[in-house]
Amino acid sequence: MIPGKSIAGRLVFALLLVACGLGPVACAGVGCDRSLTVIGNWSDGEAAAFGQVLAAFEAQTGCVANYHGSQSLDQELRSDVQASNPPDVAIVSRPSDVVYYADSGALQPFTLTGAQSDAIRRYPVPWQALESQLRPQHDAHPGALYAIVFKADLKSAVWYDPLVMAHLGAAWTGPPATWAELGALSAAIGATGGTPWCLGMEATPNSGWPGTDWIEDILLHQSGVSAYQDWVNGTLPWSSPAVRQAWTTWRSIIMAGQPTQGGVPAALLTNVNDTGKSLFARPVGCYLDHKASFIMSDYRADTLPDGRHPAPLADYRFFPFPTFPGEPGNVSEVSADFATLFRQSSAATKLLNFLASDQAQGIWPGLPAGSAFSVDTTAGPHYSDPVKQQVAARLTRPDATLCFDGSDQMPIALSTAFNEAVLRFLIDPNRLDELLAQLDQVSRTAHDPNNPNNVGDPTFHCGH
Amino acid sequence: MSVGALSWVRQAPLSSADWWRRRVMLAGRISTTRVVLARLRWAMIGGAVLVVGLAAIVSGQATSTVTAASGRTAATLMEVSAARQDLTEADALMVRSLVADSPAQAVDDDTAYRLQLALASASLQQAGESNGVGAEASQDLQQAQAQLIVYSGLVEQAYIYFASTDPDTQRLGFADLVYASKLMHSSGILAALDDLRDRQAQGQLDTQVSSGWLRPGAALLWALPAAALLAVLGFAQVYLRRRFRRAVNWPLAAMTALLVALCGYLGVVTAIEGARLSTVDDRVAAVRADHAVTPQALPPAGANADVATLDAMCQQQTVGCGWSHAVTDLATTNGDTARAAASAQAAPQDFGAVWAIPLAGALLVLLGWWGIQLRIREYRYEAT
Repeated sequence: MIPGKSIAGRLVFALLLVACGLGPVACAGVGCDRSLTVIGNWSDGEAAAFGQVLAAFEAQTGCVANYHGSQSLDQELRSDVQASNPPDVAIVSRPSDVVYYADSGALQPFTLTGAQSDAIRRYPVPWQALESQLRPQHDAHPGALYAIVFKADLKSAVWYDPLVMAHLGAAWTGPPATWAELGALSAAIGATGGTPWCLGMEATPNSGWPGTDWIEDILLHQSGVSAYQDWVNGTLPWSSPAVRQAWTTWRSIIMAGQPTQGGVPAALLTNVNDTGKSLFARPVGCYLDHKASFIMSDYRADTLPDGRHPAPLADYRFFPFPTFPGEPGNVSEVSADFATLFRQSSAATKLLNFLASDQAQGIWPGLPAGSAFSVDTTAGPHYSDPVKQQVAARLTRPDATLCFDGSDQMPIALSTAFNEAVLRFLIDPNRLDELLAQLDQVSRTAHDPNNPNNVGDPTFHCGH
Repeated sequence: MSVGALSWVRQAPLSSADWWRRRVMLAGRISTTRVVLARLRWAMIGGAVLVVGLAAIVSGQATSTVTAASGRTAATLMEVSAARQDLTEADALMVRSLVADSPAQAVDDDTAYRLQLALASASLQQAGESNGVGAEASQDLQQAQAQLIVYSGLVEQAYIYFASTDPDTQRLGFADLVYASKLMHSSGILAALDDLRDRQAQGQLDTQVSSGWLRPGAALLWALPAAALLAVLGFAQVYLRRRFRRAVNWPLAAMTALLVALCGYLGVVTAIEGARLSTVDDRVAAVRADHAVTPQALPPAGANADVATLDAMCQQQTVGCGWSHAVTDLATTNGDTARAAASAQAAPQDFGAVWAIPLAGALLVLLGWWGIQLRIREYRYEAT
């Protein structure tokens, strides 16, 4: 044997071994330095739906992303950040939290690349205006992003069962367009002995927020966008006539005719996602449900007396929140889930780019049992039913005025106090002035620039 | 041969070139004995290094597995199990303290609730410090701890509202009681701990207990090379007796005895550590069985509207029915957990393997080298 050939042969063989060993590793994920931790407040069905999005991400990039859902996302995320152990990506639903973490430096700026580089410009104008507010007060990276809108929901909606409403006879002339018509409908339902409104305030650990949605929607439509913005930003007091009127208006509409089924105490103990059970019960437990569009996934999971699951359009529809006199049309309260970056890495940036992509934007909205909506007008997700198409149309109208959920824009302490005040108001409406005075006190503290917990006091505006 | 030719060999001093030519000629004439001795020496040294190296790896992995399982995983598992038990009982005590008809019972239950809550918090803190599970399980732990803060806040608020004489305010207290109990039992704190305990920690412990490093098959990694080395040693004794007419090569005999002793030592240590790990696993299972609580119904509602409401919600499965859980003997439960934890943490020992194996390896190499070197020197004397 010639030594030279032997050595060369052994070298070639060794190189082949190395290549074979590294090949699979190389193909498994270029730029995936480690597995990602993604945190959000989705659980059960929503978590499973988001799991499909992450599965598509893993299939495309080879990067691994592990989702962790928590009911106490706010508390857990703050604890993680304080312990310098944040997740890689967090799905945050409160704009005030996005700005808070950006101001404190916990949130990392990022840029979208390639086909996703103009993702924000694909949003309708109102959403571009909303998204532009999601950045720190002192922005050291003006060209970068701090959040993308992963999915959105319409909050100014009232849901009903068309078959049940049809049985009201003359009392039902179609979806009410004005507040007066809604009041008349509520009273008419009450007059028949029925319970007009489905109320479920339990949403641990944030019980009471369904009531805050009511008050925000009423204030927005009753007193206008300017008053709403001032109230959210702390310049319109809680004890002002406009805000006080929103509370009393709410009380009057939900107590029209017969009290809510089981009375107010039952409303405190009914879970917000279980109101559909009364809507679809026979005999019907309640007729109207003021809820955000994400309630549709819970409706579809309910069971009708005949064993079917409620179907969109046939068993549930919605009408937009009615207008008040002098109110300009096409104003809606909305909410969203924002994808944010807490740990810089190539894998995390890949994930954010993927979440902004047409592919990711179409997965969850395209699920028949899901109720997610994309604000990316070019993503073209196929909404499987006409009800979803109507919701999507209202969310993406370029001439609409869209306002984020008010309590989601408030400091966390004020938002928590708002939830608690709603519960106390339901039990004892005579204490309204006392409750509003307390909320004013909390608001002054929360907005105090000398408050060490007040990292930044952003000013939010509706998008139009 | 003529004298003249021989006179050249005996008389003329070698030139430098001739000296080198003679050295090369002698070197080219490598005898069979020299080859065999050299090969025996390297075979025994190489074999000793291989056996000791593999033994160190297997022993090290086995020890680290046992250490991780008993010192961290089992500890985490039992702390989480204890916390779950404490929280289940705390919630039941909290509910009873708020809706009980007897003020004296309410005070006792309130005191016991706070004690159980403190114990649970301490157990969760200890579980986090044990660091016996992966990142995903750590998130479950953080989630449970964050939600426990929320739970405590709701309970304190409930106590405040229940203390009011205003019936409406008391209804708010009852609502907070329900919210807190739901957070504990329905997709909340206990669910996070269950996932951590059952899927993460127990799964990890099961993996560690069934670790291949503690199985007999892992011993083959060093046992087979050891058997081959024993065969080489046997061949060496036979060859050296025939070639050099020595009955026994004592260094190689000592090497043989040391190798056998090392194998026996490794086998015993592995068996003991495996048995200890099984004991830890059994104790953890026993503690978990003790922590399983049998639900019992609340006393009849009678005129107590709150109890009636809770019973109705429990039957409708709209809440987690936490108040229906019995409260076991707290002192006994906490004592069992402490004893089991102490037993588990006393397990890891390597019986000196960290120094015994390298020392044995060094002695094996030395004896092998020495045993052959004696014969190599003897053979050189013969050759010259």
